Amino acid sequence: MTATDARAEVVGRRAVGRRRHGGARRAAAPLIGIMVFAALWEGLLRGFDVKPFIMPGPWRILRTIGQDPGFFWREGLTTAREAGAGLGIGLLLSVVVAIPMAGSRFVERAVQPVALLIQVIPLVCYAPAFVIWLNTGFKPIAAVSALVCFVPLLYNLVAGLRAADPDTRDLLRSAGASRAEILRHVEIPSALPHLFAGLRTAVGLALVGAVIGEWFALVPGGLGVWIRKAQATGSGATLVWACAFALGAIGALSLVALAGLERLLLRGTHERR
Amino acid sequence: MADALTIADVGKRFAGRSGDVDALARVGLDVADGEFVTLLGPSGCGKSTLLRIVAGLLAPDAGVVTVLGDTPDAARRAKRIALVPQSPALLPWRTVRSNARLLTEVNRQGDGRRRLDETQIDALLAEVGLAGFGDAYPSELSGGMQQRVALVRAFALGAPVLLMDEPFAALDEILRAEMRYLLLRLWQEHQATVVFVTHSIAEAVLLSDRVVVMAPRPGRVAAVEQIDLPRPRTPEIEDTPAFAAHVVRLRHLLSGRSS
Repeated sequence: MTATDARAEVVGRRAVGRRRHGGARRAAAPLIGIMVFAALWEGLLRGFDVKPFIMPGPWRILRTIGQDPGFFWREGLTTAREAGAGLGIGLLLSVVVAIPMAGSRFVERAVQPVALLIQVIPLVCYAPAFVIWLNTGFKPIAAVSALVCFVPLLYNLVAGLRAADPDTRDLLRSAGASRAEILRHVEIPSALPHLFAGLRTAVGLALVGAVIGEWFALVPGGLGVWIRKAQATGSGATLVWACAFALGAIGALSLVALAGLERLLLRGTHERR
Repeated sequence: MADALTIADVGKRFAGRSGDVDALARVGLDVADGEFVTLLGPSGCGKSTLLRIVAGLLAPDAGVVTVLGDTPDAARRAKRIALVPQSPALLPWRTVRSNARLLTEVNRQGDGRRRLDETQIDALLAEVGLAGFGDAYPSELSGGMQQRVALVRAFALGAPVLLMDEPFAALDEILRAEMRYLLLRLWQEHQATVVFVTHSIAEAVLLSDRVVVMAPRPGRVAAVEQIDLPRPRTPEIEDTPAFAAHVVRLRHLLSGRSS
């Protein structure tokens, strides 16, 4: 093959990769989906004459947030900090456990039942236990959040580290590469797409952990606390839903940031032919 | 000449669902320094298993293997073995240049004196027709180009022993023919002892000094054929009666009929 032939082939491949279906339509689709959903919601409430203290419409919820954005920002930040700390600790823990697990079937078999137990025990049981161990406040909340993130992150990481191409692993071993070098050059990069898949699940779980943690940790603020308080008051439904929207916004923003980080780190070079 | 590789009475058994399988039984073979030996046989005759044992990636259940007078494991750690696996095994997140350097970047204590430096690796990439592709990613290359990167990566180690496991099996026939001559050229320039696994008879005859015919169940050496064709081998050699005679004899040996 001459260099020109080869170059033509490369150009051909790139052109195939560039083929896209209507960019504007693709961008509009999710917006249209949200708008249709909100309209249906609003319409059903009006059609069946549902009172706002039972179920407010999306417009009313947004207006409530708009009336005091500082409040939702402040309380949201508290919950986001707890969930973020939980996610970070959960991630750290899962990396430390996943590496020996991926390296040895024995360790994997040994850890599996424990991980399974952590996963099947209802999340709410951990919260009081952590409050007993760590006292009230931020720490038990982050701990609950970390524990819920831990298992899905662990499974994804082990699968990712194992997904490395066996020929490539053999290749490095044949040149006397150490376990650490194989981890660094082959297994960890191979695990990144799996790690991001795990993180997408974990973001939602971290928020669940933070909200439930707040219910038990006797903290003064946070979206979870306000959901609890709203339940006790007469016009609470709107505040419950406003807090839920704020939590949704935190989750959605985290997912967008995650997607950006993934694109930056993987830069389209991870896809195989 | 001294033997670069000695393989004596090697056996390997794998646990299978329907009982144990003898992948290799009492395999013996010596490879001289600088010799090009091909392991030829049908699927399941243990030729890849034997290669993995020589590479120090798999321990035999019986027998002794030496690579340059050492154990395969020690030879591997001293970077005296260069492996070309079946797939190109390029890291998709590294550029062509960075993939070609990969093995020189790991296990630095093991580095040999003949290891190529970065300029030499770039020159070798240019030599195999990849000039201007140093910054491309593997996904942008054709299968033949990827396999050429894998060849450069192996030769970059400057290892005295080259082990190749059906490296051209996934390529089409026209590309395969090109790759064989490219490999011969690089081998002549860089001087190495080669063990090459294939199931193509013509490929074995064209490349080798000796062809080791293997048979399955249990995997064993069935015959050894000396190839006396002159070097350097050219496409014209493939048309000679001597070449055809080797092909016919090997085909008979493979089908179990003696000639």
